[in-house]
Amino acid sequence: MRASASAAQSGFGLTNKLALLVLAIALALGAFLALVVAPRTARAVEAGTEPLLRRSAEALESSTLEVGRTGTETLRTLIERTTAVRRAMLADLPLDVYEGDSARIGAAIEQQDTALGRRMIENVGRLAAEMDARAARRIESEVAALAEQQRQLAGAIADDLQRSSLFLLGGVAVAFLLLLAVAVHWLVVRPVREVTQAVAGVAEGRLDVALRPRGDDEIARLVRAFAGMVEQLRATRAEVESKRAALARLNAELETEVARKTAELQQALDGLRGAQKDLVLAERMASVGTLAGGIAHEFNNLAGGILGCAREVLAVETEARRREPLEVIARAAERAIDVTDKLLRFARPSPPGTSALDLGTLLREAMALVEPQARRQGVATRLEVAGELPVRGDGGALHQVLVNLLGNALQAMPGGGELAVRGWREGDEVVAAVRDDGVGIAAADLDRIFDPFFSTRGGDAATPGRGAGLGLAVSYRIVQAHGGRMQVDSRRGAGSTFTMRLPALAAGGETKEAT
Amino acid sequence: MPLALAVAAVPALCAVAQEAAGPERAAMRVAAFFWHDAPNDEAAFTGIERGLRAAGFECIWTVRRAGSDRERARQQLLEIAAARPRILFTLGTQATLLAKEHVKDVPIVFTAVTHPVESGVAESWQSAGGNVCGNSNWIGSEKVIDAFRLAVPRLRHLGMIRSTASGEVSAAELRQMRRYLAEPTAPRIELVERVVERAADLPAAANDLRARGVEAVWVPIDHLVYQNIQVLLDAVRGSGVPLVSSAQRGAEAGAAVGVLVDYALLGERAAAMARLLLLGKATPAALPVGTMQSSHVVVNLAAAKACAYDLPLAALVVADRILDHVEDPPR
Repeated sequence: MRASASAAQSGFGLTNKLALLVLAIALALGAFLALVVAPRTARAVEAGTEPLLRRSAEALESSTLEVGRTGTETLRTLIERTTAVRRAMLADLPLDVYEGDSARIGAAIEQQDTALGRRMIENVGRLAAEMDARAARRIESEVAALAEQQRQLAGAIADDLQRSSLFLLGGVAVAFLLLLAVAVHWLVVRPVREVTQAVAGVAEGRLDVALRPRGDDEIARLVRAFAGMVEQLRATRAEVESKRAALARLNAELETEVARKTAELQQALDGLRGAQKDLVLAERMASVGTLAGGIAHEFNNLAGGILGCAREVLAVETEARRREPLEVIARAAERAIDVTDKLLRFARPSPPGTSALDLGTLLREAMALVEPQARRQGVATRLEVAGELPVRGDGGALHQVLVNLLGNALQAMPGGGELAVRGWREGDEVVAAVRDDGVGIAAADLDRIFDPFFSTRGGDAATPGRGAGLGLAVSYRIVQAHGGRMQVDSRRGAGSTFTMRLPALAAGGETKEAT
Repeated sequence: MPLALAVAAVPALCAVAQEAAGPERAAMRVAAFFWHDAPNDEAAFTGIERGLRAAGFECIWTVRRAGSDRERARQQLLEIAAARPRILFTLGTQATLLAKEHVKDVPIVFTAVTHPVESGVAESWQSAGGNVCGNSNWIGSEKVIDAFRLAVPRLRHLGMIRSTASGEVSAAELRQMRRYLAEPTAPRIELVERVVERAADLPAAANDLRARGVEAVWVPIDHLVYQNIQVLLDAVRGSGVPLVSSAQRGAEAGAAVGVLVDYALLGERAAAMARLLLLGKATPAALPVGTMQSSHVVVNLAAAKACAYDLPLAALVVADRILDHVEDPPR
């Protein structure tokens, strides 16, 4: 610190530079005044004084002549006037009172002349005094006029000098100011502006400012100090940026890891939820199946007995009136046997077959089976099968599942619509989707749609068993028995899509167990 | 040299003393009547006394002054008539008119009457008529205007102030001046007249004339006006508009220029007229009204200065008297 202060004192400072500049300009100005203004002033005064002196002499001569002329005229007039007055007075003098006495007449005239003379002497004295006073006033006036002329002349000279000198001095001053301005600009303004711009850049965060200190004055030392400070800031910023980048990388990695773990957790959670759901459904179906199987077995025996008895009576009965109720009994018994048969299949599903099947073929057969009914309902059908869809299983059972799904779809479109069936392979799975644009399923019913005996439509006397709520439950049990799963996606008023996923049969005839 | 002058002067001085005494005559009773105390009249009376002495008359004087009181004037004139003086001298117009009315048997010699015919003092300039004769201080308007123009060369508008109370003479002066200015040879000067009733009206009249652009204000032979001439002087003070006067003491009391006669000489001339009557050489009716040949121009430098007016040098040169102060106004 002490060293830098010493350096600052030893440099040729800005103040010294400006002082030197001002001194040089003052010397130039002094030389200008001495060499230009002073001789010009002397010449102007000399030129102005000469006519003034000439006018003064003329005025003096004129006054002298005027006084002489006036005096002469006055004297002549005075004599003439005195003579005339005396003549008139003599005419008015009543000389007849003296009765021709010349002595007395002469005395009277002399008396008048004396009075006249006394008056004239008095008049001449006052006239002379007045003329003196007037001459004095005139001389005073002449002097005042000359003084005024002198004052005007002096004023004119002063004005001329002022104008010319001011013009010249103004030029010098302008040059001085320009020089000073340039010097101040180069010595002070420019470096300060650079420092200011650099400071503004630093304030905006830009540390790549370029500073070029010139010389060794105060400004240059300021620039150097600021450049050092900027350099320190630049190093500090680089270090901070480096640490910030490392921190950002760590953050990104952490975020990626968290996302991955979250996805895994979500997937595990979804699996658990599906497994739980499947487990709950399986347990519910198993318990329902056990119960239904026991009941169906007993009920099937009773229905078989009723059907046998009815067929025996019908074999012998010819009277129509008596055959009609017997036929009703026989058909009801057949239907009851059918229901119990389904219940038994639900309760004790047969193990899937081991035959290799093409699900596409099954889809075409099932579609061909329901197409007549679809045409009757005004339902357009569309079937898309993407390649071969090999699976292993029970062809009849799977056919039953597909017919059941297609039948449900047609029932959902009593007023017409579109029935779309697609089959494709997706990884290790073969997928079949049946979509209708029918009435759809309420959201509250979706969780129970595969439950046994749950139906969104009721049965009637003409079609007993239809709508008993076993179709989808049986289908679900069949697909589940084949290692697959069944899903439904539906919304009320917007149709439903039932999707069946089965393990695909590999090229070697092996299927991969679903997890 | 002084001794020689003294020796030469002794016989001359002896002759003057003898001549002033004049021929010896018997003492006689004469009277003089003044209407008011006017300087003109007093100067004229001085001239009368001197003229009578020069003519060798020893006079026993009865002098009466009415003080502008008509009743007193009547009584005084009746008293004079009863005393039967040899001659009654009347000073001024009003005094003469009253004397004509009350004194019938005594010769009346008037003097200092400016306009004897117009005022009714005289029947004509050739003969005053009856027991009356005398002389006039009348000065022709031409001379008055010449004097005024001498003092104010740029004179084009001449203001004039007179009074209704004592303006008989001034009214006659005005008429005479108008007649003169109407003549084709007269200079082109417009006369602007203002008439006042009392002295308090004088400043307003003077200011009014100044507002009319007059170059000078004329103070005529009007007792009220020239008695208050300093009021007028105050009104025009510093204005550059001087007062000019035809009254005896106008110039002495405030006018820059005055034109007047020598009233003492006028009185002497009246005395000469009385001598003829006393010696029986003439009757009043046979004598024409006398006038003066000479007139005096008086300039007053102080009065002109008070008006901020510079008198021309020519006026000073031709002036018979140059005054350098303003006297108290006549009373």
